[in-house]
Amino acid sequence: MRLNELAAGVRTLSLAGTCKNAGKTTVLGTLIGPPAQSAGLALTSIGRDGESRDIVTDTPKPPIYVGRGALIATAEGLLPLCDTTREIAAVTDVRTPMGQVVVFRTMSDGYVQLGGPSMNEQLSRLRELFFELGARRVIIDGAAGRRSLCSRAVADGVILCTGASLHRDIDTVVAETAHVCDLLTLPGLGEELPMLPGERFVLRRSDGVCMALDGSELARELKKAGGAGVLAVAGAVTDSVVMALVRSGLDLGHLTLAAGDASQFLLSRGPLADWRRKGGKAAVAHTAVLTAVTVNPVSAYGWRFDGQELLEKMTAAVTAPVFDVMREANE
Amino acid sequence: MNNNLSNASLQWVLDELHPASACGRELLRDLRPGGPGDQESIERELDDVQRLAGADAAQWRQIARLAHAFSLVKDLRRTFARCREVALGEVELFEVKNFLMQVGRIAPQAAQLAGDLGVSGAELDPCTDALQLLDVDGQGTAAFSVSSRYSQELAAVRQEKRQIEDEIRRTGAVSDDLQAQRTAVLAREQREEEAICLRLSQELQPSLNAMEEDLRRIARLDLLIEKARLARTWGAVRPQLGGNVLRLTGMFDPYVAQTLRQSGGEFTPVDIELRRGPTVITGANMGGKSVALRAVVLNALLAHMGFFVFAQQAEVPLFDEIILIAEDGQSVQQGLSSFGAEITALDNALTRCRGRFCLLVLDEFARGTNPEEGRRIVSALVRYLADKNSIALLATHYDGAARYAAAHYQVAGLRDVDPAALKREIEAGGGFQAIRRHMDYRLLPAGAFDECPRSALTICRLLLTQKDLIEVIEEGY
Repeated sequence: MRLNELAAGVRTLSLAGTCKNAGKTTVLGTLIGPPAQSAGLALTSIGRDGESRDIVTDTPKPPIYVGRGALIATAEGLLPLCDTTREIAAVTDVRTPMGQVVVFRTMSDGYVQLGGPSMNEQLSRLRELFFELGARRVIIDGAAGRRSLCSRAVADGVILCTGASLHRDIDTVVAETAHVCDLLTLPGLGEELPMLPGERFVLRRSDGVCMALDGSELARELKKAGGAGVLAVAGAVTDSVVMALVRSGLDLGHLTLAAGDASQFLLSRGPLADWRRKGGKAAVAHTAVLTAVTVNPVSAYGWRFDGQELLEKMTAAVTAPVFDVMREANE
Repeated sequence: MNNNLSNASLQWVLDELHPASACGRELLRDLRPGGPGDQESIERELDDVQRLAGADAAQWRQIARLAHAFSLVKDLRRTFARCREVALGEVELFEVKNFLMQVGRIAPQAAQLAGDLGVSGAELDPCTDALQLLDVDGQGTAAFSVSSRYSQELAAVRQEKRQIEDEIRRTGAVSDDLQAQRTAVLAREQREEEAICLRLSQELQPSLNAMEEDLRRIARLDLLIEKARLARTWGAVRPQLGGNVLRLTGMFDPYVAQTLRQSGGEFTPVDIELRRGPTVITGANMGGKSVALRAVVLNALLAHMGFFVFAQQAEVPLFDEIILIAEDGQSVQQGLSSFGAEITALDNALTRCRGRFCLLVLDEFARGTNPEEGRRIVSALVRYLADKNSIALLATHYDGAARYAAAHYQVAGLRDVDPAALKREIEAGGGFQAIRRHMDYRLLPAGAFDECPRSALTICRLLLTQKDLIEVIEEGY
């Protein structure tokens, strides 16, 4: 199955990248397809996107070309850079540094610049607005390192874009990407996240009792509390949190580390592996669906991998289907 | 006019209002008390609050629907102002079109309100010419585009653009030649669109005044509905404005009332009548003098802002200014000692009262200095105010201050309570609240020479658990 066939079945799709220049915009172009297929398609971006140079790394970026009948959400200040004939369909109350976000319908083919809302709650509302205005499919172009929009509260599926720009070493690229996929597909907690107002660490014991734990004495407090159940973290789950527990010698076999969604798991590969080796589990309240992984064998920084090798190694390392960006774009 | 907007109760009341529209909220923010010259406009406002507050349940549902419709009205004053200066862009024209569509929807509802209840200023001009101008395709939808119907040139350019697009679609790539052609067509399209935006902006000019007036009326109606809702919720009454006597019967402060209710207490309504010259309130500690004083200020201010007041009956003269001097005033933060700050505030207030008709309210003036001097100063102040034009209201502990007052009130306080029984209740765990429960907060007219009740000793006896200290205190009495 081709990438765009796979993606066509996902009503709201978000694109995430493991790094800059992972080929995200190329993937977006592939998903948009030829201009004749734009009717009913809605596009936005959580940052400014679609400009001809990446404003972070200053490398050339493929422009976004859409056909008539698409819905585009972008900042008012970017409208002069969109050259389709258009009909303003809505003005949202979302403000960005480039003006408020407006939604327009393309009345001709042309280039667009995306620059939409960046908060999940705003994205959810924008998605609803898109559907009210007749969209059949929504694509949200994310940003590197922004995994929060992968949550199902925003998108029904995620395409993770990765590539040679992540690291010089192909195996590191594969391992790091597999790690991100791992975090993105953490299992659901199956119950509500235990929370106590103002508390960062809350343990729900198997008998259902919830108690706040002092973060500075987390291991000792956990042991005192029985050391079993769901340890919910409000905010980021960091390496230091996990390593403190791993090193404490505590039996982690009956402990599930939980957070709201995958974006809160800011864990590196090592600590997550250590955590699991000791028997610990990890889960999220809001799961995400990883629709596909795309790889870009060409780095923006001058090196490139063998496309076939990268594709094969990645396919072996992750559960989701893997596609080569360049091949998909050129076929 | 200084308006004591730092008054916590007034702020609470204003925060209770939730106008649905952005312009209604702005109007609320900018609300200032009127003065003697504004009687006509305040009366008109009160007329309308009264009409809305008197709506029956079915009418009120209609009013609520109208308020909801207001929530969709954007504050386009800046856009209207810009339209006089420059060409509006497509997004602004979209917003103007939406505004007109909202007004078109609201106008019949508002007109019905005007018909049924007689509310003034509810007629809105739907500006149909302007709407037709922006809805050239006659779709009646919210969307706006610089339509090809606006000019033949635009239609022609877009036709060409379409041909180039089709060619790009057919070849599946943008050749340099097609790119060049496309760039040229885009430039022509943009020029023509800009010319049309300019023309539309010019053709909107004759409707701008009407649209701005619509926005003003919507803001006013929105706020009026909120004032009426507040009056209905709290059973507030229309103040009778004018004259030179401030007479409040069954008056209360809803903020304090609510706070008390949460702790199981109840606000004792206050009756008070203030005439030119000074009126003095004396009475028990913890007897609610400050609360009564602030309630007077609150309700006087509200009347000046076209609100119903929190009382059973109210006569409120229109003052040039309403001034409250209390120790928690902001000047204390400016680094003056509290007494120094008070004196400065007083001096400032007296300057403002000169030759004008003001309501000057002082809470425990000079409490921060030594009692002997404080007593003299407050007595002198009362005597000084006796022949002034303004109405002054002072709460004080100091004896003799009432001697020169036009009227004297005392807090009923704990006079009818058996101290021994109350002490037992406090010790049984009733604490502070027990005093509150037994305190009679009513203001009773008192004679000019009635002394301040010696309530401090009573309070000490009730609350002090150090029996030996009470003994020492009693020795000194």
